[in-house]
Amino acid sequence: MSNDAPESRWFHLCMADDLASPNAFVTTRVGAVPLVAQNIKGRVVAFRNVCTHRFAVIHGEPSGCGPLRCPYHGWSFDADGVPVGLPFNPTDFQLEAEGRRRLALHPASLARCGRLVFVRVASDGPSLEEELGSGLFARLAALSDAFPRRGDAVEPEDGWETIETANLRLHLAPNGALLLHSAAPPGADRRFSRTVTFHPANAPITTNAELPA
Amino acid sequence: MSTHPVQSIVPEAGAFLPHSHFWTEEAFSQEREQVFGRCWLYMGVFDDTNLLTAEMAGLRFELHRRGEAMEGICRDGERVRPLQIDRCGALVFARVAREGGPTLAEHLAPYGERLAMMSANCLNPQPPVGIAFQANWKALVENTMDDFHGSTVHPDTIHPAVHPDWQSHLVTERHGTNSDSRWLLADGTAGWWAKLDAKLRMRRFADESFYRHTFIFPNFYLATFYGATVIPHRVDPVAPDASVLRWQLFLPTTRLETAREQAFHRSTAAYLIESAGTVIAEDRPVCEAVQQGRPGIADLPGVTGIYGRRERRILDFHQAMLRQLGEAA
Repeated sequence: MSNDAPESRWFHLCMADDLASPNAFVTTRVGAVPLVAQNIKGRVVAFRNVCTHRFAVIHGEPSGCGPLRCPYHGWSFDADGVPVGLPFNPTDFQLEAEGRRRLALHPASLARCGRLVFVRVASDGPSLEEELGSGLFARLAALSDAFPRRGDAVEPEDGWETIETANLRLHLAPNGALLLHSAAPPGADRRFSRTVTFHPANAPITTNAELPA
Repeated sequence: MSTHPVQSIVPEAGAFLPHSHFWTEEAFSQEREQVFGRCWLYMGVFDDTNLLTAEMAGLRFELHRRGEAMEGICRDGERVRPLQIDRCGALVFARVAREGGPTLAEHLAPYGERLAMMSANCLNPQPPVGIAFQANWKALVENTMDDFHGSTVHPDTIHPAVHPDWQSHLVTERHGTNSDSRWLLADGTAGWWAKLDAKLRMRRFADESFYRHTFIFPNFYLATFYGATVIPHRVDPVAPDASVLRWQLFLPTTRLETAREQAFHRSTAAYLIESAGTVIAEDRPVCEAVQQGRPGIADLPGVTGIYGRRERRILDFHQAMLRQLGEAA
């Protein structure tokens, strides 16, 4: 896999609070590879979103809340990606611990920059901070921490600062709104793009809103 | 192929179609020539039009019946080839004419006689149905030969319709390319069919309370209920990632004379078609999920899945495909 291949690059997926509750998940696709990040009993982990039994995509929705369980035959997976719930295992598979481990989901890379969550298909490669650069990494982390409150959708205007990196485009309004747009990675359709508006912690509370692509 | 302690198999390379066969144009083209351009294929049951047509993998099959004589051609763009046509009871099969290869009876073995017997129930035909899937045709074949996704994919349809102890009663026969599974119907389901039988006086090929599924390589299966209703299915490849499941319900009755009987038969057939459509609508998302998922692990070495005791028919199909794709021209 070359360094320029989408599979070797980090892509913004979601915000940390999207994965804060047990069983919360967010999915995307990079090239041909479906990915999922999921909270499993408090651990946020990322895998290829493909069941190791018969290769069905496990979570079909861009986000949601539910166990990491394949819709086809009900295989469910723990935070290490190991299948722990196998219907008919005693009669049909008879998989013991080692056999199950061999059928663990393939891990994906997961990294945070402040409250921003990024994923990568490749297990190895430069860290997120190395890929973004230390300065930008620190700026994004600071911005994401400074704008924790979701608010009504806004449109960017002339004069707003724009930051673009990876699949992420941020628009920072002088009056204190941060518009964050994550484009769908290469190979993913538009339902995997996300746009959210954030406000500082002390801003007036407005309706939560997330724009479709 | 490695075998786990008792029941499951993790296929090794060469015992399993490469993942790319589920989405590449190259594989689709190879299948058009080696599978759909060579094998006996189910065409349908003739009706008053004396005409049958089918499209599979870009090949168009056209069959005509004149009296007892049947003839037909296969169009592949500008190329036109004659068909060999044969019957198994009412079921009509054809293949692109060629020297050698199995007879239809050999191709259907060991189910030819049973299929012919069941096809005597191809009476009172209902309009054919085609349901499009955004998935390779083989994902549908795998799905239909998978004997244990009922509780997860069909929890409110098939699962309660079969006997609660379906595992003990499921009988699967495997004969290489062709295979058969039969399920004991739940008492309630069998009772429903018995009441229907009392009203319709259905023609029954066997006094059995089974859902029976007979698969014939490469893309045909006959589903039957209660030894009476027969539903031929064919999976038509449309593109590497698209297919159509075509099926036709036959609800054979011996009592269809009065307007009341005809109305009851009509409403029952409509109900059964709707029910079958509901089941297929449940299968479609998982077939499409496999189509989306398989490319996502294709780059990983040794990820060939695992096949449990009730998934062996699927591996049989993979191996039959490998043999057919490797068959000398």
